[in-house]
Amino acid sequence: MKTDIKSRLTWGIGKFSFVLLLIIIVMPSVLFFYWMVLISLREQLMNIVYPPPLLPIKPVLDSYAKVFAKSPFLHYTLNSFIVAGGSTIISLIVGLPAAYSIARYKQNKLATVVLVSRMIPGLSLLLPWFIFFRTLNLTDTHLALVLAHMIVTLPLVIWVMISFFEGVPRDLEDAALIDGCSLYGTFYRVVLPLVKPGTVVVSILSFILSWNIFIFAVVLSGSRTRILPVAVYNIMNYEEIIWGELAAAAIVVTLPALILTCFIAKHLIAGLSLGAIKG
Amino acid sequence: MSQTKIAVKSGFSHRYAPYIFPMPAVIAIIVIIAFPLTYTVRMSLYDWFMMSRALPYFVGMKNYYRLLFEDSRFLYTVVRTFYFVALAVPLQTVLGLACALIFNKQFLGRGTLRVIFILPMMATPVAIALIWIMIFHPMVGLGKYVMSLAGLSSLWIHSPKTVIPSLVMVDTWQWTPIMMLIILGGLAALPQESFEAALVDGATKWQRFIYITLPLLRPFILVAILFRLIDCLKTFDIIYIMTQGGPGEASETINIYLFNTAFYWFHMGYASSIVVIFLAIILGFSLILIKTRGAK
Amino acid sequence: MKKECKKRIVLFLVALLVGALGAMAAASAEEFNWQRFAGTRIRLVADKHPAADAVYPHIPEFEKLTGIKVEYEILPEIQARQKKVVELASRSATLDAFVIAWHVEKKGFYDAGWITPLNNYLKDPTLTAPDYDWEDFTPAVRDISTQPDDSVTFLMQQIDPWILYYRKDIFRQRGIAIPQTLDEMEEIARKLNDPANDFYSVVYRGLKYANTPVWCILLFKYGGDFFDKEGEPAINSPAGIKAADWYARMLRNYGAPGVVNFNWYECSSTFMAERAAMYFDGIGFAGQFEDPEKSKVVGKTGYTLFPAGPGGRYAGTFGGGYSVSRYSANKEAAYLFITWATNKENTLRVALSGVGTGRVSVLQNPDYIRESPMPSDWRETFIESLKIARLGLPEIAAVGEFRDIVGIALVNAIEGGDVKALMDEANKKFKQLLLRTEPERYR
Repeated sequence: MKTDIKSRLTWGIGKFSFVLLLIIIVMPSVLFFYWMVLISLREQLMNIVYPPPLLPIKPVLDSYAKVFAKSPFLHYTLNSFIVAGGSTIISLIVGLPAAYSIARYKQNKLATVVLVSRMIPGLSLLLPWFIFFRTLNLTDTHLALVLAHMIVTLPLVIWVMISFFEGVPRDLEDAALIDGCSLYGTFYRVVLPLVKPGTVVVSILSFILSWNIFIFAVVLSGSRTRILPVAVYNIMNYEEIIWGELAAAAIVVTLPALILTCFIAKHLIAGLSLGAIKG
Repeated sequence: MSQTKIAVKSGFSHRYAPYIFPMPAVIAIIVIIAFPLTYTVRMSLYDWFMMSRALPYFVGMKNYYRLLFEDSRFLYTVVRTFYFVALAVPLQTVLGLACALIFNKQFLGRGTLRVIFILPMMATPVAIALIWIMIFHPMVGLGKYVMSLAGLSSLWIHSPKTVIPSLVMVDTWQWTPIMMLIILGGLAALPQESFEAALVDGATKWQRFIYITLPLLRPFILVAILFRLIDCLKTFDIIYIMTQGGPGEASETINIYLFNTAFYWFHMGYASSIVVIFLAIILGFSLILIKTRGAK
Repeated sequence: MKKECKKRIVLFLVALLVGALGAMAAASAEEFNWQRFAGTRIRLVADKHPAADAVYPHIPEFEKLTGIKVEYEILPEIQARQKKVVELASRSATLDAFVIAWHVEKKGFYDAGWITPLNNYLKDPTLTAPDYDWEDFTPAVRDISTQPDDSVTFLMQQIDPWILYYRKDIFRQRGIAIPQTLDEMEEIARKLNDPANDFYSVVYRGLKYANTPVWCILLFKYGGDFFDKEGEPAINSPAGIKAADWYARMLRNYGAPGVVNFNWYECSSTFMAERAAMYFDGIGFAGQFEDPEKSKVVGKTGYTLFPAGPGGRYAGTFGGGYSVSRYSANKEAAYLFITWATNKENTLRVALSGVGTGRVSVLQNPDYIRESPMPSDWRETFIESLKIARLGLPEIAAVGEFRDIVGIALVNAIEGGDVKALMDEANKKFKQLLLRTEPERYR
């Protein structure tokens, strides 16, 4: 009886400390985003009060209205979608066959090239890109940004997809080949459908990463192709710092990325870790 | 007749398939990476101050000589970058491992909590850096208030002494999730048999962790560390937006110095030589990464 | 006889010429042809500034008047500079006009050969509308707009002398007079500082790069200059060291915490949150102080000249103006635009947005005096400042890097470093910088 209580007690303590640990590890994220939303809902004067009020007082949506009224945020959002979507799609078209080839023919040298491209800091390519795009008359076009963002998305797509292709049983391919499919037909009609789940995860991941990129567009985009992160950064550099509007703009920028994350969170473990480990 | 033709044709295309499949990607990599890189390497041998009438002129290795032997500011940026990495990576490894072990357990709401936990790494860096700036505001920021509750005071990013630890804190907040995800993937792949055997032997939880889990996880942890290491070396957005390398030079990393040299001061040739050295450092670490993977 | 004849011919020719010119002037006065370049497209890169906000919504009026289509891109100053430099260095023909932040870019851009001198355009009555009136800009402004070789480099958009903002309610309550010297200001700072209640006497820029103008102005006030008589860098002169010492001492003893990372926006938000008694910065930041939605110091802010030092009283001056690119394919159309953007009507618009401008007619315009949102002491301070205006940064090519060198020395001085050693080091780097970027100085 006594031992039973004791063991239940230790079990209870264990349970309690586990819950406590859980709270501790998700707290930084929860508090941060809470604070972000809170700032965006406050009037400007409330944001320079000290100590800062921790609960919402008279929340207002003015900041959001102002962000959209002051600058063509919808236009920037559209640009961001075009660039993130474009770089993802081209990376898939170009990257999937390469990943397949690396997986099927064990092209380790090529894998190394891809890995090295992932390591190169994008910043170091900014200047030649600019001159390159300038000569081709491509500055301030979506294509320039799409190509630039591919330095991040292309290695990611190839790298993560290699392991998915490795998981495709060779028997199926061989069967298709014997049935008279060409190698390319087999790739398109048999292999690709098999790795569809992986492709979906990697597309969304690549979209998010491309969406978040900031520094390339600072130099390569103009007023026509300005994307959201640059627009938000510009608000910060303008004449005055208005925290509410800045926070509102920050939320607008990051919301699509966060929503997409919720969709693929489950698959991220498989996708990312396999991509990092194997290949 | 026609059948043999097809066979020959497919034989031909079979033979060249290993070249045809990756061809588009290889071309893309050459256009967007290799070509600009070559250009940069060439430019690093020139003196090119963009804000002058003088055209770029060839100076040979002079930029490198100045960078490595005369520019103490650059050497400090290297030291600072390593300091940042040396603080961030071990911290993130320990935290990432701990979090992975926690999230490896079955419990109610695991999926939701895991999503919340990984949100920081998926959020747009510009957006989160802006909010951190507000939190670190030395007069009215939440960070000041929280410290004052504990009876402490800190200027966070506004003092040369605390700026790098503060940036490491933000980086850790942002990137521990990727560490956790990779290690979690490793945990999921662990063979169950060795645990069962250990249970039969009567090993304690701690012993099982030290002698079985950890060694099995080692390749995963190593790769996670090396990936983080490389990305930490490249950290730019957060630092650029939050401190621009300040106060003074206190958070000026290689990347920030590179950006300033090229796009604030317009010494394009010199900036290119920084790029080359920076690349050499990063490729050095990448080689270690590749070697480690090969040795697994 | 022959001589006489020659004289007469010359006279006749002169008369003819004058007559013709007069006729031309008369014709253009009656009807200046704005439509000459109808159908042209021009592209402009501009710094984000309240002046731009005041004028650009009216660009459709210009487009209607001239038939020229204006495409413009507004960016924060630093990014605008990146864009301008990179485009001009690659000789882009698609950039026609741009706003130059002349306190940084005047010499660099001109020396690089990127700017079209405007002298001939200003003289050409077919290009300059008769009511433009270049002479209407104050002599100081025209002087700033012109290079040492007499080339007019830009047309002034806004001019931003630095002044002292102070909390007049507190000064009145404590019976404190406006400081006239740096010593008096330090004395007041000592009295008002109250860190226990999170209230600090002074705030001004501490962030490296941004902080350099503060020191430059102090340098003038201590009687120093960037170069000595032989043209050698002299920022470690006794005046330079005293300026750096005063700069750092004030912030260290009486400044808000964290000020080493303060740019103007942290400074002004600190001032607007009622946490500082005195704030030293450009006059153009004043507009927001009088805006009740953002500021707690509406009606409590006094405006005055920054105190004098032993070397006299100067108002360090910064600002922006319009230039035409040397590589533009539509120079005349671009010039038409920049004269429109700086004409009397638009200058009045800029002035009414609470920004300093350089036209006499605007400063004396009764509409302006009546409608200006700024209090009278702001306007008086501005007009006084123009009289003692002095370009607030050295006229060298690599101003950005100079600001960085001095800025880092200042930050280290605030942190308690040895001021003399720091300025010696900065001077050494300044010299190296000149050797690298302007070797012709030393030939």
